[in-house]
This record gives sequence, C-alpha cells and structure tokens, in this order.
Amino acid sequence: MLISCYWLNQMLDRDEPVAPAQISEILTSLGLEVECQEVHGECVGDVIVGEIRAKDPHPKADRLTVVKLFNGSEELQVVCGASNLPEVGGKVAFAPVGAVLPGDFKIGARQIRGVDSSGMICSEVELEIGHDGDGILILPTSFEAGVPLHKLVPQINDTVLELGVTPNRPDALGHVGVARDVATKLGCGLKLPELRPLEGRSPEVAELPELVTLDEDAQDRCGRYIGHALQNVTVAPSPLWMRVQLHRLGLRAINNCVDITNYVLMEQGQPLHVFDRARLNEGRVVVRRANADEPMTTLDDTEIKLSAEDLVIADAQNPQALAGVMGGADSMVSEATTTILLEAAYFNPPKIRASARRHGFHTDSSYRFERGVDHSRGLSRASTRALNLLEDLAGAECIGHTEVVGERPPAAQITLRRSRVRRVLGVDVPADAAKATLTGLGVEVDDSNPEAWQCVAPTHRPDLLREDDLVEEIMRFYGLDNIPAVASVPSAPVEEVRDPSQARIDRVIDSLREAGLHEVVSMAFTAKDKLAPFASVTPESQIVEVQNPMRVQAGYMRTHLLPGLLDALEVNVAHHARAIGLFEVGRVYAWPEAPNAADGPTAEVDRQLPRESPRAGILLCAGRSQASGYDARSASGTIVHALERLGLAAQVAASDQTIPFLHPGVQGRVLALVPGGEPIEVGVVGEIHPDILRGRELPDGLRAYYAELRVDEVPTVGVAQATGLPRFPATSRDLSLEVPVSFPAADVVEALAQAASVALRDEPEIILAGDHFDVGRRAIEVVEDYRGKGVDAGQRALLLRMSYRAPERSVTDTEVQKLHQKIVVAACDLLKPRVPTVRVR
Amino acid sequence: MSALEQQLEAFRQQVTSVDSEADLQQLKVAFLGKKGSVSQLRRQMGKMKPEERKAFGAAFNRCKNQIESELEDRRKHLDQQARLRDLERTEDLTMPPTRPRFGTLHPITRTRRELLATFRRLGFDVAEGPHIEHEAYNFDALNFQPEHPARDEQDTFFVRGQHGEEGSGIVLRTHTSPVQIRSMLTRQPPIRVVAPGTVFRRDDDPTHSPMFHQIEGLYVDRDVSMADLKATLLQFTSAFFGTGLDIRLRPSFFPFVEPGAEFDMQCPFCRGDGCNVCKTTGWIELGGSGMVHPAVFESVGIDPEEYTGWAFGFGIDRMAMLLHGIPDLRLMFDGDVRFLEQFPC
Repeated sequence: MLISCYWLNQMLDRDEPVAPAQISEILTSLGLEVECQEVHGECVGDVIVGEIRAKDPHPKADRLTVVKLFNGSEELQVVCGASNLPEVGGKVAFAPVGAVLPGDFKIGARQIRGVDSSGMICSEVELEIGHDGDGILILPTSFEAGVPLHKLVPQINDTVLELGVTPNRPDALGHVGVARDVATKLGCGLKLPELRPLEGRSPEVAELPELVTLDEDAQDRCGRYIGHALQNVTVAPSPLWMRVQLHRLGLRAINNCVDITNYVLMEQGQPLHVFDRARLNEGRVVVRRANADEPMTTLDDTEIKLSAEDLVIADAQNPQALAGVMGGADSMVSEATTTILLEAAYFNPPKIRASARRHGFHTDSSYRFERGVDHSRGLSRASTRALNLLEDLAGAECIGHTEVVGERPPAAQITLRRSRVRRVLGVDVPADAAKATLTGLGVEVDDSNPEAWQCVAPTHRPDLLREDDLVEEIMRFYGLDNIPAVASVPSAPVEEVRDPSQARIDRVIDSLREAGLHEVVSMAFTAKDKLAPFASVTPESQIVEVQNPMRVQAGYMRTHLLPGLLDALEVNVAHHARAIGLFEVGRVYAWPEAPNAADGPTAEVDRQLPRESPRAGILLCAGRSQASGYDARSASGTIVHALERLGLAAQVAASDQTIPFLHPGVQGRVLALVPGGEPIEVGVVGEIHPDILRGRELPDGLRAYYAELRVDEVPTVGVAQATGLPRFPATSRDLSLEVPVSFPAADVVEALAQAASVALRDEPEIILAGDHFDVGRRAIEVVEDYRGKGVDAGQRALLLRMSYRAPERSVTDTEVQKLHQKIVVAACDLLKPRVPTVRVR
Repeated sequence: MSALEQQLEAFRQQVTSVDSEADLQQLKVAFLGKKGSVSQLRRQMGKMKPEERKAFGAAFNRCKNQIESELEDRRKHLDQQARLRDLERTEDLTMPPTRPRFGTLHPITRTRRELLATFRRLGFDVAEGPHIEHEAYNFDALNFQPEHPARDEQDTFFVRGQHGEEGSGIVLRTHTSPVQIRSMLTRQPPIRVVAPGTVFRRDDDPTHSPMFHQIEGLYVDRDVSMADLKATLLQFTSAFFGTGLDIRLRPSFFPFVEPGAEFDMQCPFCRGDGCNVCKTTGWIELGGSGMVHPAVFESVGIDPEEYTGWAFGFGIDRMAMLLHGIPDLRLMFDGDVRFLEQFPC
C-alpha cells in the first residue's frame, strides 16, 4: 500500500505537517511497516507557470513553434515542438534556464535550428507527475504566470511510503485508516474531508428503491449496497491535483469518473464502481447470485463463465460486474457517458476471496473486500465523498438514490479487563493512555467499571473481536520498547519427551561425516520420472503428489533419497573433477497401504496423512577424479560403519538381484545383527543401475555407488556394555575354499558359522573368537578373494581365517586342528547342495 | 701362545669386521656354540691333570667371558651406529601433508544443532511433526479462518489425496507452527518446546526457496507475558551470538498470536553500527513472535483464562546464511562439494 505523506498530513488536525521521517518511524512502530520510501518532486521546484503570449512558426522547421512566453516578469522566446500548444493566453509548465529536471536534465539557453530558446515547456512525463508524454502539460488558465507549479499543485512535492499492510488491517488500505493510527499516536484529531450529504438538501433528492434490488439468496454475500443515480455527467480529464495525487500512488489517470472512484479508494479504502447507467438494461441493478455458466466479459476484456457461487451486479438481464472483484465491459464508463450509477457496497469477505480466486483475479477492489471494508459509517462516507467529487468535478447531478441491506457482522462488544492487559503484556499501562488509544482508534469505551471496560469495536476495524485484540492495540501505542524484559520461572518442571529417533538420526549424520562424506540437503519434491526406477519398491499409487507444484519437475514427493543425490551428482560432475562422496539424511514420503496406525490426541489427523520415514542415503562416485578410492565395497563399508556407530554389528547379504535401482550384479542387502536375534534388514547397497545413470546428464560409463539406510527400522541398542579382556591367546587357522565367483562370500561365512556352532557344542570350553571377545561371526574373516593362476575361470579361492580361544585356558594346537577340520568338512557339506564344486584347496 | 689365546686372537680379528646382528650371532656360535672352536678346547680338560685342569678352567672362563664381553661391545657399537644412521634420515614435512578425507555437516544441520543446543540450555524440549500436514493443524487450529487472506500469505502447496483427488485438506506445512498444536495436544502445561524442521512455500528466487527450514519456540504456563517473551528472546540472542546485543520488537500480525510482533536483533557483525550484513540499519530481522491467541488455546482445549503463552519462529536457513556469510540461498540445496567443503568445523 502506497501512502502519500502530503495527503496523510491533510488528514491530521495540527498546525505543522509531520515530517515524512517521523511518519515513517511512527508507522513502523505501530506495525504498519514502511518497506521503502520515495521522495518526489524535488527536481521540479524551479518549474513555474508560463503564459503563452504569442505563437509563430519556426522559420526552418514546420513542426516547431516559436513561443513568446511570459514568466511572470518578462517575455522569453522559447522553441517548442508540441502539437498541443494552447492558444495565446493559455498556461503551461515552464522550466527556465538553470532548472534541472528529473534524470539530471539541465535546462540551458540553446539555439534550436538557429532560433534562440530560453527554457523548455514541459510534459507531465518530463516532470514525472503523470503518464501523458504525447504533448505538453496544459495548465488551467486560472494559474498565475510566474508562480512555481508546486505551490499551486502541492501534491507534486511528496514523499510516498510503501507500507507492508498485514491482512488483519483493511482499514490501513486507505489514507484515512493510516491517518487515524498516526493521529492517535500523536494525540491529535483526525481531519476528514467535509461532506455534503443528500440528507437535508433542497430540493430533496428522490429515493429510488427500484435502482437496486438485492436477491434473497444473495443476502449473505452482500451486506449493504448504496446506489446513486447521476445525470448530466461530463466525462473529461480530472483536475491536475487529482491526476498528480493518483500518479504519486502509482495509478494511471483515465477520466474524472474512474479517477474519482480510485481517489476515494485510496482515500477511504473503500472500492467503488461506476456503471454507465444508459447501458444498464432498465437503468437498474440487481445484486444476485450468478447462474451457473452464465457468461460475462470483464472490463479488461476477459471472458469468464460464472459459477452459482459468484455474486454479480446485474442489470435487468445480464451480469454487469463480478461483485467486489471487477466491473463488466458492457456498462463501463466511456467518453459518451452522461448518466451513471455509483456503487458503494459491502460484500462478504470470504465469498469475495473465493470468487476472485475462482476466476484468477486479484484486483485493488477484491484485495480490500476480502479483508473487510467498513460497512457502516465508512461506507456512507466514501459513497458521499465520491458523490460530492462527481458533482464538483464532473458536473453530475444526483437524481435518485437507494440503499439495500443484507447480512453484515455486528459491532463486537468486548469487555476489557485491566488485569488482562497486565497479564498479557507483563506491564501496567496507565488507564488514561489505554483509553486514549482506544478512543482514538474509534473504539467506544465505557470505563464506569474501572477494572472491566465495556467496549464496542468500530466497524472499520473488523479485526477487533475479543479482549486480547484490544490488548494488542494498547500495546501498539504504548510501545513495545516500553515493555520490560522480565523472565518468569516455570510454575512446574517442564516435561521432557525423549524421542530417541532424533538422537539416532544425529548419530547417523555424524558417522557419515566421520566417514569423509559431505552432507547435502536436497528438495523433498522431484519429478515423476525420477521416481520411476523405484516403482517396484514404491508403486506409483503410493507416491504423494503436489496439486500445485511450481514446476512439473517438482510435483511429487520423493520416495527415495537417490534422485536428489543424483541431482547433486550431476551438479558436481559438471563443475569439477573432485571425488564425490555425499550423504543425505532426510524423510521420504509415501501413502501407506493401510492408514497409519496412530493413537493419542492427534490420531484422527495422523491417520489421514502420508507416511514419512527417515532415510540415510550415501552416494559415492569417483567423478572425473583419478584416484578416489570409491568403489562398491567402500559404499558397503560406509553403511556398515554407520551401523557399527549405532552400536550394531552389521553385514551385507546377497540380494538375489531383486533391487531394481542397483546394478543386478553389484548389490546387496544390509543386515543389522542383533545379539541373540535374527538379523534385521535395514538397507541396501550397490552400484547404481547403469540405466539410471544413462538417463542423467552424466559422462558415459560413469559408475556411482549408493547405499541406503532405513533409519527408523534400525533396532535400538542400549548403552555399550564393557567385557573383560581375554587372558589366554587365540589360535587361528586359515583355509582356502574354492567357490564360483557368483557365490556370495557371506554365504560361505554363514556355512562356516553354522558348522562351527554345531561342532562347538562338543567342545564347551572353546569359542570362536575374533578381535571382539565373544562376537561370534566376526571371528570368521575373509582375508582374500583370489582369482587367477591355479583357479579355474569363473571360480575364486576365498582365503578365510578362523580364530579359536578358550576363555579359561590356553588351547592346544592339536585340539584346534581337530576342531577346525571338523568344522571345514561340515561347512563343505552344508555348501555342497548349492555349490557342488566347492572344495578345500 | 696358548690355544685359548690363539682363539681369542682369531675372534678379535673377526669381530671388528662384523656389521650385523645376524653375523654377530653367527660369530658367537662359531666360537662359543656347542661345536664352536672355543667350546671344542674345553674337551681337552678331560685329558689334563687336576692341577692343570684348574688353571685351564680359569683361563677358559676368562677367554669365554672376554669373547662374550667383546661381542656385547660390538653389539652396542653396531646398535649405536644403527641409531646414528637412523638419526641421519630426513623427511621434508613441508611437503603437502597426507590428510584423511574429511566430511562436512551441511550448514543447515550445523546451525540447527547449535540452535537446539542453545535452546536446550534455556530449558526447551525439542518436538517435531510431519512435513505433510493437515490444514486442520497448519491453518484451522492456528486461527487461520477459512477463505481469509492470511492464508494467501503462506503460498501453500496443496497435496492431492491418496487417489489423486483435489481438496484433500492436506498441505505441505507452510510453517513449523502446527507443531505448536501437536505439542499442546499431547503435552501438559508448562510446555516449553522448540520445533525445528522443513517447511514449504510456493516461492522461488535468490532469497526464497520452495523448501526451507524454520525453528519455532512455544512456552505455555500460568502468567507468561510479553515481558517474558522479550526476556527469553534476549536470553537466546545472548547465548547464541554473545551478550550485549539488544533486541527490538515491532507490532505485526500472525493469526495464531495476539498481540503479535516481529523481532529484530542488533546486528552481531557491526554491533549496531551499520554494515553490509544489516544493510546499514544496525538491525537484523529475525522472525515473528507473539502471545498465543486465545482461539488457538481454545482449539486445543487449553483454558486461556488459566494459561497464557508465547511463541516465536524464525528461519534456520537465514540464520545459517547470516552466520556463514552465504551469498545465495540456492547454494544450500545444490549439493556442490566445492560449497560443502567450506564448512569443515
């Protein structure tokens, strides 16, 4: 909202105008934040009124005129190129030699095609006081030559403030409302323009009930409608002061009728509309709901199809305006207009908002109606103000008026307790200051009970509905700076709800950072095709879709972290040759197959929501770097490391090529090993499927590795428990097993572990032991994966090392050898059904 | 010269040329080993007369001790030489060091953690909520009236229902404020929580991202006031940026608070004198705050006559940009390693 300091000052009842800087400070302190300000007119201080004394053609140029111009004291010769020079005696805006116009345009004595010219006759645009640059600005003949223009049109010199008006303050969308705040702060009166209402005029202006009808089923949409019928209207340009005022506020002057509605809009904050009454069927309007699919052309020439929910202002037949939003083209005021119907109305805010949104309009009018205009005195005032201006500036004559009333909100009756003010603000505001604030704002205050004031909120402040709203008003004017900073102490210990998941997420983040990876944060929404590779994991029906995305490529909530990490991979590969090790810990989203199991007070809402699950994603890629050390096993190592840092042993199991977004030959499932329980699958790891990388902007043949941890499925582990250190040494035995390349090492280890657990039943004193005392499977180590000489193609020799220990004594070579042999044989027997060729080398 | 003396002489000739531990061991075996040349001489003792034997025995021991002593001397000499050689080694540590790969935390994570640590010290518990939220919590319970323009300010992303239908009532949460509702529904006063998290708004330019992060604070208790809010915000800025920075509240509007206020902090970089960061105003706008609206209390079943409360919220991303001097918000979400590497600590 643009606010003219000049205009604002006109409304303050005080001797001296308030400086723009002070206005700005006051407004910001009151919550009407001044976002920026612009000083106008400084450059045109030297421009004066000039009178044309003679006009002669330029001897050398047809289009130029040599003007004898009177500047108040002498006649000067000025060359002018305008085609709209007035006749002798006409007045123009004249920039004498020495003046500096906007844009640092210095006026000097010049020769134009051989003729001396001392100064320049200016257009609106050159003076930055209007939009019309086609010809020079023609001033009223009443203006006295030689007088500085800004003395006659004070609107020229102005500071305009741009206010950020919050949606609760429709009153601040007009100068009167803003002035009311400033006046209250300054303790001065509010000086509103004087009005000449119709009441008491002689001859009496007729009541014309047929002018406006309000349909029964539109009562909830239109709270009040005042109509005035005017005749003998002369449509013409508005006076200069009004054009400049509108220009200062960013509005284009059109003609007096339209300008007056805009002027009153900016002054009173009340949108108005004028219809060309001659073009209204039967010269009357009906406020009614539209028929479904009823067509209408708005005055910006948009054809719309109305809905039965829309409110229209129709004539006896057709809609002539989308009420509160935009007028219609048919009954728009034109230069031929001589009779008009002036509308001033209060429309129901939510209905107007719905209507404007339905048709994609956002107008100055809808902006105010949807926030709520003053349906009472303010509306009457705006209507009369516009009527008076039409009478004064367009020669209009009012021949009839009427008013209809529908539903409108009652004035809020509020009890304000002084104790509440103290309780909410934490400070005692003096009663007289509080009362002065409220009455200044238009609140009726009955303080006969000093502890509980009976207040009636003014209709121009629809936001004042309850006690705390008045407390806020008192606070605004008392000043937040005057509220002390005093901390209170909780009345009871604050309950702490321990949520282990956040701590776990933090630990995962730390472990991945510790592993040398960089954390990224990517957008939670992505393109549908980027989720396609996951279709067999998360079917399309489970993808959460954004109804109004900003871009098609960001219309779906991610179901996996991989697409976002690949986006980052593209960025990195495109820009540098570093190794790329990234991770992200964030949520993925999907509709559950069955509604979320939820309980507690939020269950009803929670059951309707998609499921959000925390995931950790790791992406490793050498990129264009030569030696990154990143490969599939560093990916599995990183995720296993993350699990270990959560206190869990982990291993990677074969996946049977079932993970669709990973290379079929390079993928595995990540298992968390729980002491005394079954392994729990908590993630996947492998090389990203080459087809996915091919679909991305990446170099051919690039390999990248991905691991994903389903953080919420990772079992919780208690505090780490210490055990004593072994007192007797372990003895290890190596064995080399030949198996096919395609046979997973993990399965070999598993077979050995199974065989060992059986064999060790007979040897209760001995355990399989690795570095970690008593952690069974770690005691079987895969030392080498040998392929090449001595091993057939397609086969590999796995060198495995097993360690044996007796907790209470030293083990002997003989017993270990015997036990080891037994285990190896048993393990081979276990493997044979799946790997007939297995053999000990 | 006796045989023993000859052996000693022979040993001495050899020992000076020995220059490794292994050779030294070999030399010892050659003279003193079971079959060593000195040990062989001992066998002669059997053939000697008792009086000769005694003298020979003494001489033999002297010779053996001498050899052992000289072996030890040589060993020490070699050891000393090895030590000196080792000390002669040089390595140029001014060459580029071999570093372990370091990973980094995202500036948003880092900032969020620092904020949470600060608020925990101030007695706040941490609460979270879903990113995809129902309008009931994102708007209705927060006193956003249906069809009120305040909803427009939020630039909401709407979410289709599970079967693709519009009007599901589900949105991407536009602020962390629904966590206020969830906290008040699930906890008993006094409630003192902060809620950090991801939020979404339809906005995309150099200073706005459609996804960003906020942190929200809520305190509900008997007799909580605006004065207390001001004190707590001051405690926070002091704990986070250091003491001596003033804060300033300006009236503003958020539907879920009444009264509402924006809060600014004196610029921590120029301490209020004016600099580039604060655009010479000396103040940094942090976020919104205010007293919990009685209508919000009513929506969660808390009696606004018994309890009062305040809430505040601000952007984590903005705070991270401020702390780290990040010039463009979009850098945060691109995942470029060259950017991420800039936050090693």
